[in-house]
Amino acid sequence: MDTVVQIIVSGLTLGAMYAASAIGLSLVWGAMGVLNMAHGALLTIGGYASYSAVLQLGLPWYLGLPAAMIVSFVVGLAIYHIIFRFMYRHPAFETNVIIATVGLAIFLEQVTLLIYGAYPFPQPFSIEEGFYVSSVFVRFQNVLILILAVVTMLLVAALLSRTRMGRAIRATALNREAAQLMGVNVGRVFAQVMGIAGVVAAVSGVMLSSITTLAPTMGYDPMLKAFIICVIAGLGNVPGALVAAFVLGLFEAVVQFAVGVRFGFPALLALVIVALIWRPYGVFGRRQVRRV
Amino acid sequence: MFETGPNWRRDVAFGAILVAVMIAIPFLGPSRYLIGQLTLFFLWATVVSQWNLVFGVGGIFSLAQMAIFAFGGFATGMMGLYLGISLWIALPLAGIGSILFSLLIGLACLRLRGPYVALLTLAIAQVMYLLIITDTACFYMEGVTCRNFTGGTRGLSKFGDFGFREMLGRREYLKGDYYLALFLLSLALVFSFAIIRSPLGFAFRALRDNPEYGISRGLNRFKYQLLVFAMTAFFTGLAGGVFAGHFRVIGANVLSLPLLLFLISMMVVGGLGRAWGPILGAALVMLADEGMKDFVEIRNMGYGALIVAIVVLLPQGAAGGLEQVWGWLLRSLRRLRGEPGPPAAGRAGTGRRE
Amino acid sequence: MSTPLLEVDSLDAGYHGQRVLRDISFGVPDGGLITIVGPNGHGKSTLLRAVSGLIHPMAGEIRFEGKALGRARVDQIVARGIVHIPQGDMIFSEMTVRDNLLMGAYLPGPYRVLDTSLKEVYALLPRLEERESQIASTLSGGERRMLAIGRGMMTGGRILMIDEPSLGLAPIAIDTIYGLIQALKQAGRTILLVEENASRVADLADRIYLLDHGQFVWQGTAAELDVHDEIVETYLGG
Repeated sequence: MDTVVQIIVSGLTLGAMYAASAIGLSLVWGAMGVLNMAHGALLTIGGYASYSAVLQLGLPWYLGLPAAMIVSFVVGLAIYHIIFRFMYRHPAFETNVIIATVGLAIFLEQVTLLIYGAYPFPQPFSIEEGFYVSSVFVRFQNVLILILAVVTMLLVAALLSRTRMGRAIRATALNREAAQLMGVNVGRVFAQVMGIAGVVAAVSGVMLSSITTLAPTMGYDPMLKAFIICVIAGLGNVPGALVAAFVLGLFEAVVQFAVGVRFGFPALLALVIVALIWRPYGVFGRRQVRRV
Repeated sequence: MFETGPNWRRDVAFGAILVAVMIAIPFLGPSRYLIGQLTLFFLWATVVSQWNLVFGVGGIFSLAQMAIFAFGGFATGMMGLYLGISLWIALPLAGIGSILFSLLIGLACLRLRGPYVALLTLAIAQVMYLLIITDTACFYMEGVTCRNFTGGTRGLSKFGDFGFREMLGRREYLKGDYYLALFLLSLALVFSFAIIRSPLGFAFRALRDNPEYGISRGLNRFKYQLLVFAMTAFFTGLAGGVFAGHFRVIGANVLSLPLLLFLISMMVVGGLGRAWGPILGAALVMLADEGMKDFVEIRNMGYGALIVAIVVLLPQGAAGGLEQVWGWLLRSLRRLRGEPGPPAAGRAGTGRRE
Repeated sequence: MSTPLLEVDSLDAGYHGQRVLRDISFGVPDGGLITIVGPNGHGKSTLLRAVSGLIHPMAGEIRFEGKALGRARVDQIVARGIVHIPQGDMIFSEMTVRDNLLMGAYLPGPYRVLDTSLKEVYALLPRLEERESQIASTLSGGERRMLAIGRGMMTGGRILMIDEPSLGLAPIAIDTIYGLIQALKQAGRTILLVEENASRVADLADRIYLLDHGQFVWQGTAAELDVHDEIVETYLGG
């Protein structure tokens, strides 16, 4: 019984964090058709921004999250304006972005290292208290993470389906040329998407560091898992990414308890490879027309 | 874009001169440091030249090249350590092993679309890295110390070297590794030029420039990609093996992200898909690395910024940039002499295809 | 005659350095319906793409309301009132019919009069209202074409450029679409229509241009076209 509770708590928490990481990645993929390898860096920046806001600027702990969202939003916009803006009309955009964002990821990681050092600071946006379910202690933080993730996802979903901006993002993702013919400034949509991806990444970065610690490389692992989730769901498929995130979170928790912590990620990967050999365009993915 | 046709004489001549100079260098009494750095240069240039085939010619977004390199290195070391065989026998076996390893990766990944390949190959490399550094189980006992199968965080060692120490003595043995690495690079270069000029190279150009046409001509993208991925894995794995033998140790650090970035930057600086790009890129990046030795903290930051800048500002890389400058010089010379000449023919025109 | 609303002046355009169109000049007067007819693959779509800014002209000039478009971005050109309803519809297949129409009114100007123009479109195309909340990819070919045109109407531009509205449709659907175009013309809309076959458009068009191998080979009114049987035979296959 206790093990089951533990696995469920841990699996839901992991799933919530993965979902928040995956949505940002999936949005960028869906709208622009590119892979942002610097997504993990946005997570890290969010985590540290919350730390700085609370412990260095002296804001109350609960303002850590909004501070992180603002900083990552700005960095997301900056990535568009400094890099993507000059590249997206180029025919080799898809390839070049992968390389450029790998470079950017390392650059941002090193900047973080230079500013904060490698010391594993704790995340101040965190509640230590908790409650018992049968004999298992559950931190309020885990509940908070789940709520935050669900709220974030609902907000993103509402933004995409109910607002003029969200419609333009979806239209651009579906048919860039047709969206332009409706008067959509594609560059502005891309900037908006990068900003939203930054905000969502900040949420998952703060959540992640609140159950582990801050580290300049902390965004790397959830980014890889977000990748895997997107691969399973089919890149650009936001609802699919949600389901996949929770399923994989629970799966990883089971493997970690049953086999050992170090086999969680390898088992995930093995599962994904099998899934992909079975369905090369993602388990929920439709065969997409290649962007030309 | 690869050049074809009329420039092959220039390529052969350039390659021969380069190899001759490199053969001569140890006779000029260089420092041990220089010999060591050049050996490393040969190894990285080998890896990048093969990666360039995978990425630039095959159009495969593989980030697993260092995983294959690590496989070759660990396979060589493990065979030396656990089977007690000479590294000279272990090395080619590791090369063949790397082919099989890459076939596994390829079968899993290459049916997918470009970005998925990048994701999955990166994840595979990361899983290898995690499995090695979290390896704490005792595989054998050395006295009272517990040794892991993979060497864990300390790396795998004590599998010996290529025997140049006994053959050439403590002072000269580095030159043995130097020539071995140079030999490997020469083979890898001949191989990559052969691939580029072979029917396979043409098939790839067709598939890359016009996938629908290529496929309609009966070219099976998956089959060709798997073929090039496996063939390049051989040299990549060998480079890993030589690396292990040269340093007498191989660890998970060859799978680290900064090293991956270091090698990608060589490829990008050189110019993706350009025949001489890997050599030029490896040389430029290693020189820049020498220059940044005193600024360890900002070194990786520098690479990151460099890659971004090159991709944004100079998408054809240094080789492409040089070609354009070269073409421009030729044209200006002709104009000065009052010769009409073809305006953008030959190598000057390869960069832009309008 | 006063200055046309849209003027194309000695335009050359194409792709990847290859000219598809050479020395194209014509004008579309305010409230008029101009038709460009010609075989497929001879530059009709290229012409519309050059006007809407999807490709930039290689030479010549395009003026709208007397001002040159220059190298303006597509969205800026749309904002000035040029609406391009592309070939093959290009509807947003995974969005609802209503969301597709709302996308038509994306720009701030049309967005303010959204409700009025939505009523207008539904009045002309009641089928779209019936299928309002349906995903666009589930529509029939004729319905998609209606949606594409309805979406273009929502943009509220001063000129509608319609690329091959009859392409791939069953005869009965073509009748509906041409009925719609006639209604638009009667409502005073300015229309630039591109078709492969002249027979459908002859009655509607104020003026017909014949495009062959990237150049205009003939121009005139429908009445003049009737006199020149040999043109109909040569270019339009009777």
